[in-house]
Formats: sequence, structure tokens, C-alpha cells
Amino acid sequence: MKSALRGATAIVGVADAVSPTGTLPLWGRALHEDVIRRALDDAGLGLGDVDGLACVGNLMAAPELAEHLGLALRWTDTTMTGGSSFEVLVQHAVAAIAAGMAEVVVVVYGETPRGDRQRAAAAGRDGLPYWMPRDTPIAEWEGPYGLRQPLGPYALAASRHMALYGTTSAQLAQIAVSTREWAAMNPDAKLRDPLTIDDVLASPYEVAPLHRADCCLVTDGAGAVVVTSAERAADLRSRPAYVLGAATRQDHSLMVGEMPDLTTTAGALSAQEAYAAAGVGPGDIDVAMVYDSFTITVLLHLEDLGFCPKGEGGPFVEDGKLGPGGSLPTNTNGGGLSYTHPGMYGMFLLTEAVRQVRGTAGDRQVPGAEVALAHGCGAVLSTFGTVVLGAVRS
Amino acid sequence: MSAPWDPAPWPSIAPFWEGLAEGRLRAPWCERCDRPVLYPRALCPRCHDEVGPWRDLSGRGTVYACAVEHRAWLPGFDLEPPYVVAVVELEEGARLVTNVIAPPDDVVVGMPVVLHPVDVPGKGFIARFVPAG
Repeated sequence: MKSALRGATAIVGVADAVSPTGTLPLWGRALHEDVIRRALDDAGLGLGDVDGLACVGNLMAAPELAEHLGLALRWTDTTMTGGSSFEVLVQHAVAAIAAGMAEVVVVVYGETPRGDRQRAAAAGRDGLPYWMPRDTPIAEWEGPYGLRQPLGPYALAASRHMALYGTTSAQLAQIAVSTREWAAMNPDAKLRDPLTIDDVLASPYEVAPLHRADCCLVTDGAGAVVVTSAERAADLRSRPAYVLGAATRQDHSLMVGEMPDLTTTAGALSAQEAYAAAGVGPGDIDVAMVYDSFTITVLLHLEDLGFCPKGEGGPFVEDGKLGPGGSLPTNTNGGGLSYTHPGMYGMFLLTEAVRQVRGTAGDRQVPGAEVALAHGCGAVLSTFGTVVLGAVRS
Repeated sequence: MSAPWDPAPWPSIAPFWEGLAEGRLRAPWCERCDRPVLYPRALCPRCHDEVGPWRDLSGRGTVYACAVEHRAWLPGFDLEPPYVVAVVELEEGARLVTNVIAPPDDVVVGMPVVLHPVDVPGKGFIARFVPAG
């Protein structure tokens, strides 16, 4: 059944900050201010219009950022689900706006792992320490075995998919190749040179079966989106991207040993529920923005989103249909694999999906794109947020 | 920096680590699900019933998923790359993240393995596996 919230809200402003160098001149609060200001400007709004703020980071990230901006807000949300946080926060914002708890919500993200490392080195400090939460079960039950996070769990999922379904490294490599073809059309992308399947297979193993070129970038990046009611959107100068459906799911968190089935994610459920809320199905999706931390991540998403049956993702991607001119344009900004990946990439799924349904994606615009989805995935195939956006409200 | 793991088991799961030091794989048992609960906890994550007394497990299982780490990314870790990180499904039903100690090319999904507790210097026993038979 379609959700009562279908089309009740819209994303009316987007901005992102990404550089082909992989580093940005701004960081911290200055970077957040930059993308917030530009996203609001895109919408024709100002900070004084904002009454809700959502972001992740510190324990009190949203109130802290509000304090910095001098905002006294009706509504804040700091729900942290890793890379899917921004799809999850958009879902929360949609509910809050529909319930009258807020009217103009900014969802913002910015991290600068590459610049942070350079600044640390220049100051004679080490880079970031290896992160593993203490006093939680993962430190005791997965930490002792040298499982590298987050790459190791994705390699485990790939091994299982290969064993059950015959998926090959070359099929996974094709995902990186198609994504790179999109990146070539994005002047902000970190990696734009042509890539071949052989290049991917010749790149060294990180955690086999995943090669280095199966893995996402580590770059600086930031983005923001502005969500408001459809009524308010009608008065604004920007073209709205209506939120047709949004759903979230999780079935474990940091521990891959707790994942019920390494080849089927909880995203299969968030996808079903988001489609149902929006009254659409996989055949209606003109542009698929799916989280690509690794090539295997995309493969699992394509199956779980219903674009092909479980186990058939390998043959499905083989003909290059994810790339420019293909039948399922996917990750048209060049993705986490070639565009940017500051750590929690889900923000950039939203900014690109909005641009595509607005028809403002430039060289990489998919002709006639009316419905796009942003499918965020956090931690180790753990937390999911699926947002369906449309150019038309109903 | 050393391996990111404090061998400070919570009191309720001490029998697991004590059993390993004796070469045994032990787990609390959920009567309703008729299967072990690993990692151990008070409420079964499947049926949410209270978990029953500990039992000895066979220590046998099969490789559910396996990956090969090619980089020495973790200072102080005792295995040299390439080494196998695996999820092993125990014959009683639970799964463990572990290492299978064998040449990486020999380890495949579905292969039978058996418990091989290893005493890591300064850390204590951990539950690794080796190919069965």
C-alpha cells in the first residue's frame, strides 16, 4: 500500500564539496558551513528558515552543530548508522515534517580523512589509530582473528556469493569498470582514467577475493540536502525532488558473524518497503544510486533491490548495463569507487539522485529520469536506508 | 599498538575461554532453539528465551565463508599474511569468525574443519580451526 507520506515532502536543495585531488581546502565546521550554505541557497532558503538539523559525528552532533550555527531548533537527529545514516536521517526528517515537528530540515555530512592524515603528518603526528570499540563483543569475538574492518566482512560475503552462485572476480570488476565510465563524465571525480576488467584483476589483492580496485576511495568530501514539505516546496525557486518512499532496516551492526545470511542483506526489506510506500517497483527506477563501498556491495544491492534474482547479479552486470547508455544507469556520479568516499558515502547517493530527477546532472544526465533511488548501506552490510525520489509528486 | 583485543572476558562468558584452554569448545545452549548461542549471551538472539546451561560442542564445523588477508595491517598480530579469515558454521548450528590455519588456496567454502585452540602469547587461547582429518 502506498504510504500517506508519499510525495508529502521533497528535497529542495543539495550541495556537495568534492575535489578531484581527493582533498578539500576546508574541514571541520567550516566545511559543514560551506555545504549547508550552498544547499540552502540552492533551495532559495537561508539559515533563518531552518528549524530542524540532522547529522552524525560526535555524540551530540546535531545539537553541537546547531550551537555552532547559532540555531535554536525544534528538531534535531543524530542517528548514527554508518554509511546509510543520511538515507535514515531523510526518512526521519520526512516523518518529522509530516507530523508537523519541523518544516525545513537540513541533513549534512562532511569528513576529511585524507586531509586529516596530511595535516597530522605535517604536525609530526601519526595518522588515525586503528579503530575497534572496546568493551563490546566485537573486540572479543572478531577482533582476535585479524579481520580488517570494513573490508574483511565484504570479502567474506563475496567468497560466499562466489561459492554459492559461481560469481566471478571479472563480473565484480565489471561493476568498477562501469562506475569509472560515469566518473569520466564527472569533473570532480578522483579517478577518471579508463579502467578495464584486466586492470581490476591485476590490482593487488587486499582481502581476497577483493582486489584493490574492487574497493572504494578514501577522500575528503561533504554534502547537504534540504528537506521540506511539498507545500513549502511549491513556493521555492528550485525544482523539488519529491520523497515518494523511504524505509530503513538493519539485521546486525559491526559483527559480520551475526549477519543472518552473508548473501542477502536487510536492504532487501528496506527496498520492498520503500517501493511499497512509493507505489513503484524496480522496473520504474530510472537511476539507481546504490552504496558502492566495494564492488560486491553493488552486486548484493542489485539483487536485493529486485533488479535481478538472487544469485544472478554476476551475469546481470556483465553486459555493462550499469554504465552510460546502459539499461540500468547506476552510480552516475562515479560512486564511492571513483568519485569520492569520505567514510559515510550515503550523502552522495542523495545529492546525485536529486540532480538526476531534477535534470541537472550535466554530461551524465540520464535522459528523462523521473524516478531515482538512493540505497544506503552502513557498517558491514548491516544498516540500510532506501529513499525513492521522483520528479512528479503523484 | 598491539592486536585490538583485551583478553578480559566478561564473567558470564568465562566458560568459553576456560574451555578453550582445555581444548574444548563450550557454549550456552538454547533449549527452545536446540542450538548453541555463540557468542554467549543471556537471551537467545533467535527466540529471545533465556539461554540454558553450557554444553560441550564437538568442535567440528564447515567453512561458511573465507577470505584471504594479504596485508600485515595489524601490528602485533601473530599470523603472517596471506592468512585465512573465515566464518565457520559449527555442526551444532552457531557460527564463529575465526582463522583457518592452512595454505590459503586449500581453504574453500564448505570444507570440513575442526577446532584448533591457539595460545597467543600474552593474550590467551583463541578458537582457530584447521582442516578436518
